Amino acid sequence: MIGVELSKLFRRPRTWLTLVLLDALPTVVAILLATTHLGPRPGQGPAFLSAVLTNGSLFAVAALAIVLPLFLPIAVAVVAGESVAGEAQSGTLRYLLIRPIGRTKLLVAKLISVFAFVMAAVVLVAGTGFVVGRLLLGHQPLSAAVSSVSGSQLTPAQIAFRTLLAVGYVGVSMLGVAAMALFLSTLTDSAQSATLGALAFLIGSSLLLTLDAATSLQPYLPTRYWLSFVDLFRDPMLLRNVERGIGLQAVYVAILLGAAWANFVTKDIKS
Amino acid sequence: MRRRWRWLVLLAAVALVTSLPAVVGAIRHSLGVSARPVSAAELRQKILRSEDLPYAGYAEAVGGLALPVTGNQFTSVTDLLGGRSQLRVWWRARDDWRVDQINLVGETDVRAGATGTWTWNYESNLAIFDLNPAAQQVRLPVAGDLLPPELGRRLLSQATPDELTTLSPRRIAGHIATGLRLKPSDPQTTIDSVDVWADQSTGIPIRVDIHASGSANPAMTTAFLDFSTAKPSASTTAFSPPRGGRTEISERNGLTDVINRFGDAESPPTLNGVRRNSLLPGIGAIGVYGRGVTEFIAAPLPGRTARSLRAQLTSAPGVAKSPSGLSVSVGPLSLLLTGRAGQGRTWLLIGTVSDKALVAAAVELARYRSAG
Repeated sequence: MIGVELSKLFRRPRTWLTLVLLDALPTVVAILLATTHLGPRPGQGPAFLSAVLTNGSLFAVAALAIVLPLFLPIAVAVVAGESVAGEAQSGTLRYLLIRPIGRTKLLVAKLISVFAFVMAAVVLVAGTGFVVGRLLLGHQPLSAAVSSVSGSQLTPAQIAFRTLLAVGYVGVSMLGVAAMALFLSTLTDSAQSATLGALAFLIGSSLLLTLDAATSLQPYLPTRYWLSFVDLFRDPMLLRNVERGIGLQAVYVAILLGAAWANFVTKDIKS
Repeated sequence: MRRRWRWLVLLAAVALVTSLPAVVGAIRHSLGVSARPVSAAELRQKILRSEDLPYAGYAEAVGGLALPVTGNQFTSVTDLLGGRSQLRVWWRARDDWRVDQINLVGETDVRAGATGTWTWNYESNLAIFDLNPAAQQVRLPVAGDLLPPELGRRLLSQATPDELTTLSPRRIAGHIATGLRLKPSDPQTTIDSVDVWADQSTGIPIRVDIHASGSANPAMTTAFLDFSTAKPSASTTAFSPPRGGRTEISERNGLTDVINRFGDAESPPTLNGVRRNSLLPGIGAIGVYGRGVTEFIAAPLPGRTARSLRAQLTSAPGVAKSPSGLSVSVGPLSLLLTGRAGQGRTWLLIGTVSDKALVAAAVELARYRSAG
């Protein structure tokens, strides 16, 4: 069942188009930086973007920072929102459920395929960012040390390790969006509604993060710790917010998937 | 029925997860915190003597003191006093420490060594070595000043025994903290109280709350969220400029140098009946008046700075115009810019005293200037 769902997801041209579009933005940014040599001014622009002009290896994490606030969650919400509602919309959900498999199993399979997409998207963005960065930006050898956010020198092995941690962390950060979209996808027969609902949830969270009046709520907002992967590139690493980010996503994922399960296993399927 | 029990299980799980922090807090509160009884004077001494003890941690300072002034020199101060600052600190000794002010996409670090201090800004890719940091006896506040140990000791340094009382111990950042409340006795003060909580075993302040008169919420709070008294390693505080980064060497003397260029102005020995603070010798232009947490500064401003500040204050909300000048109060901070555009020297008066006290000081300054 899981294999079927995964192959269905990755055979779909739409999935690959989404991944290509996700990679396109950082690539365009890299081309612009390489041709103009104009980095963002201090305090402006995505994380690490000013640093990539001297060392292109960092463009892997800069690419993640570029897509993280908007494009990556949109892509995840589209795929996750379509997982169950898309089947209902196209009239294939009832045929899926005729097969001798439980609804819980089907939901788990959908869930795993969405999580696989999330990780594939994050790894692909970071990988493309690394290749594009090495080709277009900074001409330091691969063996050269890279400056950490704290000004100390990190060896290539340390940078590689921290980049892997950042990729994993960004992937985990997207799981909350995926779980929300999957839950909404079990509530409605419209994939677009599920996607838009998940995005509204994120926009609301991002808005509340800017309000001083919402300070007491902020530690519990799903987008609160998204950019904390930057803390992995400080020296020493600051793990406080990263740990909280992982914990918060785990709580959202558990609750939303629980809600998706509670709703889906007893839902009347009409399409 | 089947449908209902699943939702009930889910709701129970949600209730459990969301109430967990409150339940843990309530259990901790009910267990109470016991600490060895200590007098206010003893605790103050212990806190002041903790200056040479090592510590490390992560602190957050939240201020509501955003004065409506910006510009190269003032924007950082406005952000610092009016926003949330995230600070990491490693303190080995008075001349060997590091304070990082972190933000979402970068950080600004200050690292002190025996020969000077390095200031590293990641976003500018710039490291500045300051050869003469001790010369900055009067300077604009920096992030390190908001660390609980620095702020707590500074605020308690001139407190008298009759202004101090002890508070019940509490747990902060996993450490038992004993509290000291300072209620200033000066009738002109705008500070209601200052609560300093110090680690019971070392006396290092780990939380400071500043309350303005007439306000229920603290005007400023700075507290460690992670705290350790283990001595940080030397490699943590050491710094070498990174390859590819820009480096500058500075011998600046900060704000004092700029203001002292206008040597024809000197703050008087007393203002509004308050004597000049003797803790800042050798700075003729800038006068610091008062004691402890009730202080104000009188500084003659260079023409361009005065014009810029006047233009900003004129259009800022909440600023009052009077014959003495432009004045504004934010929490316990009062600010007065004397005079009018194009009319003689402009003085900046700012401090934790009432508007009336600053106006009285401005009137005296006008007379002093005329007499001089």
